[in-house]
Amino acid sequence: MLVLALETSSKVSSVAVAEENRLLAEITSESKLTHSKTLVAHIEKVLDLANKDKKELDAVAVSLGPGSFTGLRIGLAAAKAIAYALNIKIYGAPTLQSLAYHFAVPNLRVVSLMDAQKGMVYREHYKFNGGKLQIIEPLSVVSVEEARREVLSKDEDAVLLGEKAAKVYEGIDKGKIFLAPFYERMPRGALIARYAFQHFENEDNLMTLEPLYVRRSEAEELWEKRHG
Amino acid sequence: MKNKIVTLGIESSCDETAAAVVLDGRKLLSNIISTQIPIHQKYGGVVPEIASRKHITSIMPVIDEALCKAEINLEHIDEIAVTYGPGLQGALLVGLSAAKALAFATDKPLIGVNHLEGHIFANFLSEPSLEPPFVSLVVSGGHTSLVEVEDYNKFSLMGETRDDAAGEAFDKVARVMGLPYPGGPEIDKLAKKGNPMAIDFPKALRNNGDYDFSFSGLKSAVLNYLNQKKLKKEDVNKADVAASFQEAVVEILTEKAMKAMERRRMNTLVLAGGVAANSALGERLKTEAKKRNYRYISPTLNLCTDNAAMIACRGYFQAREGHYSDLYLNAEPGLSLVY
Amino acid sequence: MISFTTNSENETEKIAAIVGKHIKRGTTLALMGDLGAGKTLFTKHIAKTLEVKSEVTSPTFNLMNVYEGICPIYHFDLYRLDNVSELYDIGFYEYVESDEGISVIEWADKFRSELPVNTVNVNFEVLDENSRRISFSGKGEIAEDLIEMLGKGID
Repeated sequence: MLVLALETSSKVSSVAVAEENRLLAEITSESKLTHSKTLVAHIEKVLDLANKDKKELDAVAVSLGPGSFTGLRIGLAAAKAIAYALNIKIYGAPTLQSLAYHFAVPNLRVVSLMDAQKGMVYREHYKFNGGKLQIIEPLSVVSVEEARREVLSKDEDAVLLGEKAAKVYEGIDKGKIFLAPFYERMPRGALIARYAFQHFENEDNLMTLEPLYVRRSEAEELWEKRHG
Repeated sequence: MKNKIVTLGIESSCDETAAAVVLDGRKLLSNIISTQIPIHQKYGGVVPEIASRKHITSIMPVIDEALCKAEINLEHIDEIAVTYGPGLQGALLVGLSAAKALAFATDKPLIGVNHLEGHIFANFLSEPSLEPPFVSLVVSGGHTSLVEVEDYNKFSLMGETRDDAAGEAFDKVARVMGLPYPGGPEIDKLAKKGNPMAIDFPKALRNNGDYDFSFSGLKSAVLNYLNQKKLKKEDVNKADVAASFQEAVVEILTEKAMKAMERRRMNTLVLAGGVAANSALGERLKTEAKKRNYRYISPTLNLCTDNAAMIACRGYFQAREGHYSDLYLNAEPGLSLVY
Repeated sequence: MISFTTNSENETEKIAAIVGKHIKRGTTLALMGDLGAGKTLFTKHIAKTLEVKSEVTSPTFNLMNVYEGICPIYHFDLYRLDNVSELYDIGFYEYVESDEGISVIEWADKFRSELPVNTVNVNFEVLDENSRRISFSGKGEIAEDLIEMLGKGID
């Protein structure tokens, strides 16, 4: 299966072309706040680099969030349009889970930390069992201090990933906590492709696929309260 | 020489996600607006707080529906026109991103369209016999301009607002009066019960010899009036305030439009933009145009508010002149009419 | 805290120019004042000083404009918003917390609690038709530095 993977949930913009066991090409850059100018141009380039025609694609995978609302929508809109036009499968890959594939190794607590603004972070903890990702602390929004305290309280070997990893790592007395080097903790198209391959049976519906916002709008909460 | 060009239009600059298919620039094959499709039925219609989230959910269903209704597939589309501004950045980016990706995936050319020009072109769809040249009064939420449309791709800006747009003035006055958003239709409704001659609000730049507008003074005058009444603890007849305010706006817009028509020796006046739906404005322009034997055109209601058909139409004419965009096209929320 | 009384657009322009000259990337300016007090005009002049070539207009309708000058300028108008969730939706925090450009927020008083700690507050008071009192205040180094520059600049 040939997959085009898009990652636009943060300041890092990344597109990749991959097969199950091979990354053919990837363009990853830390860009300005909006990816709107470059995403589709990069998609064209990366296919060129991979020496593949778009008609050879079997699926498109896209980072679903949580993250920058604007970035997520740009990526998702492009992914849906491509899936529709080429009549191929679409996979939505949760951003934090996909990041974890940087360290798909046993006996290690993997912690993804992405910016949720106002001093808060999106955080989720994982362990890999027989190569399969398991969520051991489900996704939530907490303060940087809380994220730090939590990781320390587990008293286990752990690796920190994501754009907020360095911030959370500040003031930690090393010990069992390891800050992944910058190239191994950033979002990448390759990881979104990996997520898709790990979940290839669960394709999504391009008509209804939505970003993972996590921080829900008050309206939704109000609606849900009123309708029970 | 007609070639049977099919244009797909995509629009997501504000509250509506829309897609449409137009044939040879003037024949409407489909015109889909997201509120027509019950995607967010769960929330009882549009929930303004999450309007910008609606776009990502609606974009593909709306495009698909537009193609279905037109009874064609993507491969029958010759070109893709999309709004790149003005509007809300988060909203614009959804339609823009989808359009660029579609253009890339189908190898069809992309045309970036100015939403305001789209409003002018809505009239080409509403009125098949309409052709340039004409003068257009463009009144939307964020813009008020007088444009001379010399040809399908040749415009000159005669005048515009130096501060607030007419639509903005309506919204702000409505808010101060405690009326819900959007203010335009609310004031229009309330004004029907009031006396437009009750209060004499100022009409700025009336006799300054150009075609510019200024509504912030009018807005301040209404505010001052309401404040004074409050201070003196006197009652306010809201209907009269609404009617008098609206009268001031309508009068100045009409006067300048008529002057522009005379100046450029035009005989067709075209109204464009969301505020075109204001009944008092439409009535006045129609009456004054008739007095002077001018032809007066305004869009039908479904083409008056934001839609993608007008975008497809504008895109078609741009493309005929070779004005395409590349895949680096970016959203420009503050885009206006500058020639 | 520092205040200036201006009697013409020209004088307001001079103050805006000083702000534009000394403002640092990552600064947030919170513009507050009534309708017609001159917030957008002030923004226009700052943008001009920062070499923005494109038109600077009130983002009352489109909520946010981005201008490219010496650094990006993120121009917001929160007038139409009522909920904090709407701020998230338009990416408000991402821009305001960015250290790349400067953020200028009209009607910032609608969401005071959502502004960064070192925001520079700019208050516009209408004295009469042409006169305004413009006051600068704020906590933290960024605000203090800017206020100091303003104090030196006008004498």
